[in-house]
Amino acid sequence: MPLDLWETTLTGPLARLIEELHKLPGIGPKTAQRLAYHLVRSPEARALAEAIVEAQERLTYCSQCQNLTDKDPCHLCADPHRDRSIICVVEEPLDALAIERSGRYRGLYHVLHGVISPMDGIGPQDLKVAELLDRLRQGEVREVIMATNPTLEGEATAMYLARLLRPLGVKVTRPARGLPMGADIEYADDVTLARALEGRQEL
Amino acid sequence: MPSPRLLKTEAIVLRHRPLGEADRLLTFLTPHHGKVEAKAKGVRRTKSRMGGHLQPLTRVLVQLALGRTRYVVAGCQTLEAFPSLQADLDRLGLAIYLCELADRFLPQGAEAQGPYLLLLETLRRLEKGHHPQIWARRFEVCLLRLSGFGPELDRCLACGQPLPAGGGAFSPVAGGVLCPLCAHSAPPISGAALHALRLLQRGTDRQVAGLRLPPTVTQEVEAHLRSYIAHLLEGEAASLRFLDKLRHSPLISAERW
Repeated sequence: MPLDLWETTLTGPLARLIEELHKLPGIGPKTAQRLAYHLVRSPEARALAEAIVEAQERLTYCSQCQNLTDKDPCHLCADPHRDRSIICVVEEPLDALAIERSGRYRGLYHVLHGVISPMDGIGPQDLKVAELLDRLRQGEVREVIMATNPTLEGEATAMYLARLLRPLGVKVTRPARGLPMGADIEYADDVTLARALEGRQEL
Repeated sequence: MPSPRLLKTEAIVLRHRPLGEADRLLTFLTPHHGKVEAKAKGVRRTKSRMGGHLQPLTRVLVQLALGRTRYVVAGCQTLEAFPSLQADLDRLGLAIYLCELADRFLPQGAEAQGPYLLLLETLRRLEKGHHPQIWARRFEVCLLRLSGFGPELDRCLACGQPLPAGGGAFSPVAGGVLCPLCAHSAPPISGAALHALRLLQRGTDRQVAGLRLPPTVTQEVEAHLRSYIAHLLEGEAASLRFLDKLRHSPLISAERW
C-alpha cells in the first residue's frame, strides 16, 4: 500500500510503525502491516522494544575480533582456554556462530563485516581488514583460516587476503569444499564435485 | 514482444545479489533474449541443488518460468565453469569487470548473440591465461561496437580528414579521434596506440593473439578506452576500483600484469 494511503486510512503512530517495519530486510508491505497489528495488541511488544534499544545501546565491536559484543574484549577473545595461535576469518557474525555450533573449532575469530564485491564497489577498504593485519603483526598467530562463503565474492576475498598476508609469514588455509550431508551427487555442480574428489579421504 | 512464459536457454551468469532470506536475484546474459533477470529460490542454503550451478562467470543451461513479476529459475545445469580463471585473483577481477560492462551496456530482452559470443570467447581466453589485458581491451572495443558506441578511429570527427599516421587526439566526448589541427584540449593519442585500437576493433582473433605491445602503448590504449567508457557510463565501472587496488596496492605484488 503506498505511504500516502496509509496516512489517510491509518492513524499516525500505526502508519509510522508499519513504515519502520517495512524498512527491515525481507519484510514486504503486507508482512509489515500484519506485524504492526500483532505488535500493538501483543503484551510482549514493550519487552521487544526495550530489547532492541538495549542491544543498540550496549553492543559494540570487540576491539580484537570485531564481532558484536556487550563486553570488550568479547567472551571468546577473553577465554583463556581458546587457542590464540589460530584465527578464523568470517564474513558476518552469524558465520562465527555457525562455526561455533560445530563444536570443533577452539581458536579465535575475525569478523570482516562484509565481503569484497567489486561490482557493488565494495573493496577491502570497506571491511575490517586493517584490524586483521594489526592483530597478525603482534606475532602470536601461526594460522589464518579463510572461512568466507564459497561464492565468487567469498573466493575473491579469501584470495585477496591470502595475498595480503603472505609477506607476514602466517599459514593461510581454506575450509575444504565438498558434498553436504543429505545431498544428492547427481545434483552437485562440477566445481564442487571436482573439489570433493580432490579432497577425498581413505575410509 | 511479450516475454515467453517458459524460457530454456544457455546463458552466462553475469552477477548475483542476495534477495530475501535465502534467495538470489541473478542477471543472465543469453544469446537470443539478451539480458534476463531471474529469481533463484533457496540457492543460498547449503543443500540447494542449484546454488553451485548459478555462480557468476559460469555458462549454464537454464530453465526460467515467468512468475508474477519476473522469471524464476526452474532448473539449471553447468555447461562450462572456468576453474583456472576463478582461482587467479587478477584474472578473476578482470572477468568481473567485463561482466559489469556487459551488464551495464546491454539492454534487457534484446537479442544479444554477438555480445554473448564475445563474452564467452573472452572468458575462454582468460581461462587459458595468455595476455589477459589484451583480450580485455579487445572485449571493451568490440562490446562498444556491438552496442552502438564503437569509437571512430580513422577520420577526424571535426573536419572529416583521415588521421595522419603519427596520431592525433582521442576525445571521449566526441566519440573518437580528432586530427592535430582540431584537437584543442583533447588528450593526445600516439600512432602506435591508434594502430593497436584499430587492430583490436577489426583484427581477427589470430591477429589479436599475436599482438605484442610495449607497456607504454598498453597503458595508453587502456587509458583512452577507460575514459571513453567512463564518459558513456557517466562514471567509472565500480569494479575498476578493485582492479586498481590489485595493481597499485604496495602490499600486493601483482604477478600477471
